Amino acid sequence: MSFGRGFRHGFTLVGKNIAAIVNTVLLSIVYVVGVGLTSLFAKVFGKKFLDTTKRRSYWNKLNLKKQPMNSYYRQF
Amino acid sequence: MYILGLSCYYHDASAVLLKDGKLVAGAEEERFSRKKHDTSFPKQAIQFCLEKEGIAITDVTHIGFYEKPFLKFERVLSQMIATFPWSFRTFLSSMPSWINEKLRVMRAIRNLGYKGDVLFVEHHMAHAASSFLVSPFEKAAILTVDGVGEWTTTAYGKGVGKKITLLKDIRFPHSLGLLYSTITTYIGFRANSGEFKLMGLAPYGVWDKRKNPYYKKLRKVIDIKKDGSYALDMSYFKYHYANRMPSEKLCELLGGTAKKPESKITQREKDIAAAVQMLTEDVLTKILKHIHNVTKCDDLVLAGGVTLNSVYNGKILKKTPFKNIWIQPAAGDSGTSIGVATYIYNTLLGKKRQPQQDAYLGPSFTTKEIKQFLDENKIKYSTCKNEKELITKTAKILHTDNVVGWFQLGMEWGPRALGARSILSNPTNPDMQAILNEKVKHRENFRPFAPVVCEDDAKTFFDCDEPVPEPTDYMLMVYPVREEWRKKIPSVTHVDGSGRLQTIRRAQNKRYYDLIKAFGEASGIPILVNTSFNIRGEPIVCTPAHAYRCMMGTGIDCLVIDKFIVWRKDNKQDMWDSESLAID
Repeated sequence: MSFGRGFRHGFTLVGKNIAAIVNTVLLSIVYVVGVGLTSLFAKVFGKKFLDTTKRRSYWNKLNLKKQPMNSYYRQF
Repeated sequence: MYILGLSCYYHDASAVLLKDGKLVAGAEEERFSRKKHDTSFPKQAIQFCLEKEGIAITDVTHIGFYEKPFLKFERVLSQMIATFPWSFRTFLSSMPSWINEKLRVMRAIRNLGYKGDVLFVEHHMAHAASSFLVSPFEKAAILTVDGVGEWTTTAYGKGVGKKITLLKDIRFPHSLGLLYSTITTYIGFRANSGEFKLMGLAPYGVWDKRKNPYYKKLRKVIDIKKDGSYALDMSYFKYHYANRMPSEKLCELLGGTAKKPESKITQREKDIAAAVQMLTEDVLTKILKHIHNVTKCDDLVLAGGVTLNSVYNGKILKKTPFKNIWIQPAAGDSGTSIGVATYIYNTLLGKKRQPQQDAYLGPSFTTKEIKQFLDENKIKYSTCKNEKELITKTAKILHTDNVVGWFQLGMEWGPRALGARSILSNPTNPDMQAILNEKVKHRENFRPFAPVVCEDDAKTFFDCDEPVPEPTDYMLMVYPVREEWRKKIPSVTHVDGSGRLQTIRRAQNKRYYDLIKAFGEASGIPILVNTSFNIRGEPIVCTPAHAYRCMMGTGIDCLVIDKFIVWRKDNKQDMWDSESLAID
């Protein structure tokens, strides 16, 4: 490996590591503030994000059929 | 009119192309990238589809994506919130891929140079469409079961003409697919690929519900209602917030920690495998009876990863009131690209349906291209003068217990090799399973090999439904080998006397059909061992170069590629050592 390529490879590696550290820090903040606070409020107000209650039947009404064309352009 | 269907970013990325409603090309990305279960955006598969039809991306009128990414993201965030703070590590590991690719699928599509319409169809609707819209039925009940889509894990409904209605569903975290995957990882196999191993291991366990101690234990983790609906006790699982699937409580229930991969399999693992298989069958039978009751349809179509459970598929017509069945050959997520493409063409645009006739949708090579490859690489080969000579010679090679790499037609769509990229051998040799494992596959010795038989001979050798259901053409049904034949075809008869047979009709693959018949004339039994043309840990071969490399690196004796026969012993042994790649 030439000096130039080696230098670029090393530099990329350092860059990737820095990016990983920054990502981890930022995502940790998002997790604690965003996810954590939402979770706290949800617990206070009794909102359940995953349905784990016991029922007589676990089938949910879906009734999914052809919708207006514009709804298929949406990603949600 | 060209419609491109895409599926990616979870597992088994794929692309298919419809031309005026007809499936003209389709392949999984893994076959090109050579990374098993490749999840990445299927750039090479798209390129293949366009090249096969000789068109540019600008000729495509619609592109369909197999799910609604933001709905799925909502579910992932809901998991994180519901399980805070235990979801911290999963949040850190999963968010970068969501931010960089999964939520930016439009960017990846636009980067292809495509400026037309992009449509997003719900994951289970794509599964439902992949089975119903290409099935031979005008009206059918539909069941889709997999790990998870956006929120849905199990759904049922009805298809009539070009319309599909999904009536009810079961939602995450309750998932039959994830229960099966959890036990798969618990007994030391990988999720999303080891489920077939668990299914193959199950017949070695105790199949009496009263005597299998793990069946009773596993009943505690799932609440099953009379209508087949079910809910999991989530205290036994961790998959909704961690990278590990079983919880400590489940390990405690099953009497020990999860087995390490590649460690020795004991009777305990076999019994656990049998227990979860029995449990899955119980749930599916109840669901199917309920669906029949609701839809009043005698025809059934299935899709979703769980419906690749060929052991159960072979029992459906006996255990439920349904009379006919059709299953998408690529019933897992790769098949959803067919689903979304056909949904756009048939349901949204209201155009005529066209049933799927075979699975040879992948790359094919002309005689000229193959000869050029052989000549350029100085490979020694012989050429058969005509079809008859090719068939007779190959049948003789197989009858003398050689292992043959069979490379013909277009590569198969879906996870199974169906006579286009297959390894074939003699099933009457009692040592053939060991030979194949030692020479080529390096698989666990409990895993059976599959038989292929001509459709008109199937009833003679197998106790299968009448008429033989079409999904057997795609190796999706397991049936008992008839008692009198079990000892005569030992290498394709599993420990419980069953076989995961592939049936072949002459219209689908003439050369393959004729070969099996010719082998029958030589041996007295028109059945061959058919296993995928790859070694463990690698995707099925795609090109002549892959096939040649696979033969030279393993113990495959000869390669029959188009009308050419290449013997391993005649060529230089300078390829890689397959043993070193035998991982998964």
